[in-house]
Amino acid sequence: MKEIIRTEKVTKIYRTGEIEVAALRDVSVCINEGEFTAIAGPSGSGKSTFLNIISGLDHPTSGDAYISGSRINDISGTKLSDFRRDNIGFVFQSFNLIPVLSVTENIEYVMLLQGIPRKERSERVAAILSEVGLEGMENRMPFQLSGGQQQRVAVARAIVTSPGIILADEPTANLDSATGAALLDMMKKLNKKKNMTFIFSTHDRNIMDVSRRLIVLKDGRIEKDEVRG
Amino acid sequence: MSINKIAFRNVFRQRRRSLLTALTMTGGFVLLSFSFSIMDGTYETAIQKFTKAYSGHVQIHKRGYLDKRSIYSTLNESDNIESGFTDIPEIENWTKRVFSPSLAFRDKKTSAASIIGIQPLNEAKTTSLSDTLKSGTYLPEIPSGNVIIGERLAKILDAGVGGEIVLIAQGADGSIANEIFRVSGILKGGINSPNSLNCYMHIKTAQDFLALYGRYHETAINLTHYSASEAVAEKLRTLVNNDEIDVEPWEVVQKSFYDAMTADKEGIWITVTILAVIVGLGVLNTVLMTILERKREFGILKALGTTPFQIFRLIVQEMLTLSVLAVILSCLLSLAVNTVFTIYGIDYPEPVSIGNIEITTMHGIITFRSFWVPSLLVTGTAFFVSIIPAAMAALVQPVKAMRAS
Repeated sequence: MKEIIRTEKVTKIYRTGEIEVAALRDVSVCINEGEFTAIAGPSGSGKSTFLNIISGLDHPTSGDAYISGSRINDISGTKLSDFRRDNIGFVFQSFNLIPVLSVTENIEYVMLLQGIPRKERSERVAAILSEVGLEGMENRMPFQLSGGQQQRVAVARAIVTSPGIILADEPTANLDSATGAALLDMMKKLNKKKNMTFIFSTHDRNIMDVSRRLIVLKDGRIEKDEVRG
Repeated sequence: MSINKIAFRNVFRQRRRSLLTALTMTGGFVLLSFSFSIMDGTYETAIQKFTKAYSGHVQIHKRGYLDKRSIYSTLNESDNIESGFTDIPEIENWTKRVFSPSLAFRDKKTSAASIIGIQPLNEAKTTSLSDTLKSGTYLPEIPSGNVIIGERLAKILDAGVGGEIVLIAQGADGSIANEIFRVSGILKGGINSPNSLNCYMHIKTAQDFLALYGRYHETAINLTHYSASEAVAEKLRTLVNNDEIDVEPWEVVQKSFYDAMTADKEGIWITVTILAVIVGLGVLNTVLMTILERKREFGILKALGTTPFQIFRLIVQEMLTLSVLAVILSCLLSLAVNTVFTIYGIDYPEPVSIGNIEITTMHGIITFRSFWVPSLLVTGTAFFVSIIPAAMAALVQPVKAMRAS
């Protein structure tokens, strides 16, 4: 299988005055294309920091992070924005839809940044709305949607450009268990159908159970890295 | 959907705040537009009254006459330079004049007096001299021994209508001219009036009195509007085509009045600066609140791949959108306010004097500049004030911004 993410001895230290806190310590991981991976661990174990570093939202204090062979430490500014836009889809814990945009417009947003023509955007949005089960809600605004519906829109926004990697930071944390399970089921199907790489940071036992790979972090180190059948 | 559309919708997210900011902008706009309207209206009135009262809009003299008013610097009637005036559509009327200093006396009272020989009918069409009579009658069109004199001169000489005064002056032939004239009218105007020591007589009478046969000093021309003065002066220079003749617009003829008025007009820029600061503070407050409140959102937009420049543009565009909406509203409001003051005006409690012209009512005027300058002020201030906050928003680090509550 093709390697899509690799970290080599990534360490991240946060400094507040003279106090130093190591969020990650020498983390080396290799994730292949199409994997459905959960990063688990207690609060403060470094899950979100790990996602931030492999997405280029944050830089490691030492070590290297690669996405599709590109060393992300070397990219900055507008190039980094473009790199994220074209390679990574984000699903956040608190949905983070753009409040002034409708469902359709939120899903279109990244395609707009990519300069995709209107006709193609419309076609892709129509297809993705069907996949995430939001037909008929195209013109609703985020405040008119339930939490589960908003998270589906966020998933649609993340996958609509076929970015290769979907990073989901606690995607079910703000959802009830039934809605969370339905969302997870949807993402699992998308993973199989589109061979997209999903990486979750999570406390959710259901996500850990359905993931093909489980990486457990503790105090910034990998405590367990297990691949299931 | 585009950045413009998102910016437009963001303007309406915090409606109350946007409304207050728009009202600050509108207030600044309307106040500035009104200031321009009233100032330009007042000066329009002053210029019209001033040029109508004395100078006309364009004057023609022998070269150098305005610098040194010599009795010998004359134009010749035989040159007939007025023959082409009717071909210039902006010219409404014109009149010729003769000037000379003199000594006036009556009984044991004497005073300096300025003799001004005029063409009574043409003068009445060109200036408002005939309207400024306080008592008596205006000069007849045929030459006579009648004069009309300023109120101050009348008081000094204790001369009333029907009384006689003696004028003594130097004739152009070197002789001493002296003659008895009958006062047929007295002109209005206090001590500061330019007419106060003037003594008007028929131009033929003056030419005979001063031995200026067939010669005169000045042609004053009245135009359809004073703003055409320089253009018409240029046409007249071409028409006259004589290096020995000066053709000057009222701005040159009445240079001290024009310079004082121009300097006074510059005072408006103090108002512009104060209003720019007020509008700027209103916009700054809004844009800073926007950035503080939406820090997390900017982090998310950046995480999704929005470039720093796109974030910068979004913020600036929001402020520009708000300012354009405020400008549209302001234009309508200002048009209404300025129209009311153009039609009805405001009466001064006491008449004010501009260049010895008394203005009793302050009238507005609707000019293009009373709209474009405030428009530029509001949009320009909104743009410049939002640059630094927008740059701050553009440079937020997504991770830090997304941690913001």
